[in-house]
Amino acid sequence: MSFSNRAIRIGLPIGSLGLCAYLWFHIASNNAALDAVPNAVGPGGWPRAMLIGLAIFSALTLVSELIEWRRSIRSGVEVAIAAKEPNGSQAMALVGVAIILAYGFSIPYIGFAVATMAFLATWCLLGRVRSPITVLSVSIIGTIVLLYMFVAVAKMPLNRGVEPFNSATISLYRALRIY
Amino acid sequence: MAVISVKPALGVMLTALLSGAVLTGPLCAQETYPSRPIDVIVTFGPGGGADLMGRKFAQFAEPLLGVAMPVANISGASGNAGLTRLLTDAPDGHSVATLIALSVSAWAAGIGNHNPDEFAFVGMMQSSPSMLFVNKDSPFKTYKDVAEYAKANPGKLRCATSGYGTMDDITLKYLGTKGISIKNVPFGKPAERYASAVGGHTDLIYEEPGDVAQFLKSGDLRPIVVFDEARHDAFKDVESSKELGLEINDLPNFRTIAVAANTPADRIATLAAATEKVLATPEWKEFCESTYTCTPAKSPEEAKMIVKKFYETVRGYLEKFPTTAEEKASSKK
Amino acid sequence: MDLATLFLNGAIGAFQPHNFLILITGLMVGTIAGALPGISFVNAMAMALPFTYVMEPVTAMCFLGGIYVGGVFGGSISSILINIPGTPASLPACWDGYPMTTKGLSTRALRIAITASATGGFFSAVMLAVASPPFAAFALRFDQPEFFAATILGLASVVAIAKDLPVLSALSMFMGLLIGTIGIDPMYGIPRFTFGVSEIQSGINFTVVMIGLFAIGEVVDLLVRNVDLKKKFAPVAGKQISWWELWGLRNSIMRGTGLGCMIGMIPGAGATVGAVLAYGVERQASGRGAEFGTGVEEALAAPEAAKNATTGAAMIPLLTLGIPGSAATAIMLAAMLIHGIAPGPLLFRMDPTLVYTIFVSMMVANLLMIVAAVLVARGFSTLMRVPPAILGAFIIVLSVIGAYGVRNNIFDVYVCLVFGVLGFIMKRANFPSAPLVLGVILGPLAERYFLTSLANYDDNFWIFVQRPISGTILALAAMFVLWSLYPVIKSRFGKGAGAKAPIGPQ
Repeated sequence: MSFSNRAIRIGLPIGSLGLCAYLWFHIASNNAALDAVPNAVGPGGWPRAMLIGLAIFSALTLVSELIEWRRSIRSGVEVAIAAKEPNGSQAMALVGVAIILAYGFSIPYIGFAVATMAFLATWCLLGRVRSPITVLSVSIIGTIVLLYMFVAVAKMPLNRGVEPFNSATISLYRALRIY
Repeated sequence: MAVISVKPALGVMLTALLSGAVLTGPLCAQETYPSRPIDVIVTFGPGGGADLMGRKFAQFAEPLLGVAMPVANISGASGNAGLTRLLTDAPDGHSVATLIALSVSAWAAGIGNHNPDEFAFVGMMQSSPSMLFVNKDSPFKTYKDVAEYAKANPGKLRCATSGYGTMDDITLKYLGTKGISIKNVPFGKPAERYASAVGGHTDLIYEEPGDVAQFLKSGDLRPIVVFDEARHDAFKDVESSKELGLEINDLPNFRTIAVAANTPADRIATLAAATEKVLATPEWKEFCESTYTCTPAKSPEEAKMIVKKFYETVRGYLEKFPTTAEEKASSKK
Repeated sequence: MDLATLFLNGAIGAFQPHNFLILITGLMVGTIAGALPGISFVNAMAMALPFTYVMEPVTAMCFLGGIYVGGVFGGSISSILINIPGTPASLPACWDGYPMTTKGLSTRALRIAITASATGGFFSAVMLAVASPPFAAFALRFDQPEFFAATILGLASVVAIAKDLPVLSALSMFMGLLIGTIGIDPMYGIPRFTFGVSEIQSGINFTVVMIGLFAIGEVVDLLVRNVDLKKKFAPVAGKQISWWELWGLRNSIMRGTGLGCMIGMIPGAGATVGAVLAYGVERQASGRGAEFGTGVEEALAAPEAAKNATTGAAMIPLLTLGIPGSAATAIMLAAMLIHGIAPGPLLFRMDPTLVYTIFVSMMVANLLMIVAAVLVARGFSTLMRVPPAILGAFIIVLSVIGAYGVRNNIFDVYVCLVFGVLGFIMKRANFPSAPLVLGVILGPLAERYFLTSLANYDDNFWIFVQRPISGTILALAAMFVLWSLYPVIKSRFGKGAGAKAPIGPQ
């Protein structure tokens, strides 16, 4: 596991150096527009300064990480950084991240109410809460409470999704007396 | 536990509801309008002129339309983030948005891919000309003082504005062609713009009177010229740009309520009738007088004509006075 | 009318039953909203705004003031208990508050945080009440160069909080600064780094970044570890804190309060800058700097005091000039304008009773906050008994709602999720993420102030050091950086053989 930490810690500054080089030429879609302004700095000046700063500190980080790597190879011990790996499985974490992403990105399509109900149930199952009564009650009652709080009281215009989820959500809101 | 026995029943009920809803969905679209809350999208953050107008409108229109009208601030990209949301919502009249002159001038300057034809305007709620103001301690009493000083000291006077390529910028550039050279000092946030003028860090500020009303009433800012065909009723002793021989009288700050252009005509008519009633209430009259923005009610067609004409006007000005950036960029292309 | 009469009238107004009750309601709403991960007090104030239409102006201000005061504190409850900051200003509370929780000292940590916040808030409200006009006159002398200098001071404090990783923290901060430049630039209207995606034109909001970076990574860890949170709250003997021990923290609290009162008037990011700066100063001044990050009580007390001390200070420019400096005060301005009241110098003359009722309410709110905060904190401690999977699921949903609620835009949810993935990776690599958030908050402010300063002062780059106030602030920032880096540099050159950086001066 220590390898992946090392890889991230060395990969990150390399990646950010590359990114800086790429972004330098892509600040605006038309870079000529950046400098043709009446003022000394213009819209390109600040981002450029930030890119330079980022590049300098990426390089510094890279150098110090490499020095530390060499030191750790010499002493033969992979130290310090590898220490804090949580004892759960890496795969579980990745599945969790994937489910969260799926939840967020599905909201505009299937609507907040349906997506949330599905997400709450999935997350419970993933987290080893298996009793069907608990899972169902958490997802259904949880969603209803959230809907009352944020749609009925706080009046947030949360997405209702595309058809047929739009009309399904509207009917649900009507049934709950939100609309 | 009685609670637990209720829970599965709830689940069954909900599943039934959801599946039922899919079947009855299309039928719902046929019923009377408005049948559910109308979302009022305010295209700027809380505390500004558009926010105040949108909230007042929702407050007064609610009893007339008989449904709740929750206000949501969807800010960003000169109001275009909220307008995009308006156009992606179903065009069934249950979403309306504030659409103001600033957003329209942003389209002309190339921000936001919208144009006036995408919208129907159910009400022209407010309109007011812009003015130039000076700090209360300023040596300048009239527009003539400013003009003479600026001619003698080109670029010495600094004017707080909202940015380059805006109506503010156009006006200053126009004055520049008359030999009145004033430096444009753009401020990203309105509050900071007002603070700089009140604190005397800039010499002039370009703004509509309603947005600086508290400083006008307290005397911290003094108007010196109104950019309009005639003097403003509330500032009878302030000269208009027309009588000073300036031809930059066609950039009003209007605020409209808009819906998507493909909204059913009868629903547009319902909303337009409601806005007309709102505009006629004494409360609204009091509100618009306190912000110097009263304007006679317009039909949706008239409102659209005004917005279109404004859009063309700004485009014309921007061609005449390109920002240096655009000028050089297009020459390099 | 003399001052005593004004205060008496204010007190009569503030203790009107309906005003008083609504103030308590506001405090509870604010504290709960602040404590819910993802939902910030700014969300809560925006949601509460429509309810204030039907209230009297005074009552409306009591309600919003209560939410503001309670919410600024509430964010620390989730910082301390689950290591997810409820608001950006509660970031420092994670650094030493959460380590206390892992040691079984959560009640003690909450007590310290509540006391420090209430003290800071109360003194700030007193300052608002007695010294508004002179402070407002002073604030008006601040122009863009001064604001720029203050922003730089905030960025300098990132180095001061960086422990022994200044380079890595600076890298993280510059990433944040770069993210802050995304979108249409504030002056010229040119889209930057948008790559044709129109939604990015509005820029990346810092609250959204913070929710993503902190909440999602933490929840995934919660899922993977599946530890029983109950055990963390197992009572440890002697965890109660006595008044005497709190009195022992008075220096930290007063330092934090003083800083917060000064920084609060800076428009844009007062509370966050105040809290982070107070943490950095405390690290140098307390004499226990090397232990910071392991659950040091001074390190919790100072930023907590500073954070709430900005609330009263932030209302000075709002009430005296009608100029809101932050999202929260902008919502208060909206509430007043809806009622046809324009805050500003005239308000003090036309309706002094309203002004002084607000003053007294703010003072009372900070005292009552102790009660509200204890109740809410107790409730949240109980919530920790919920299985971690269920707790985590709701944190994610609230984070999504919170990210959405910033601008009611689904695109912000996507941004939040992308930063969630980034935060997850950064957490695994022990890469500091707080400097990134601070960069996103302060970057756009710094750029705006910088460019407007140049436009206003003939492109003179020396203006920042030529103006006395901004020059002084910049000098302070430079001294602050050197002072913070001194132990690190000394240990490098003193060849400390990888030893911990020695304790700072004093």
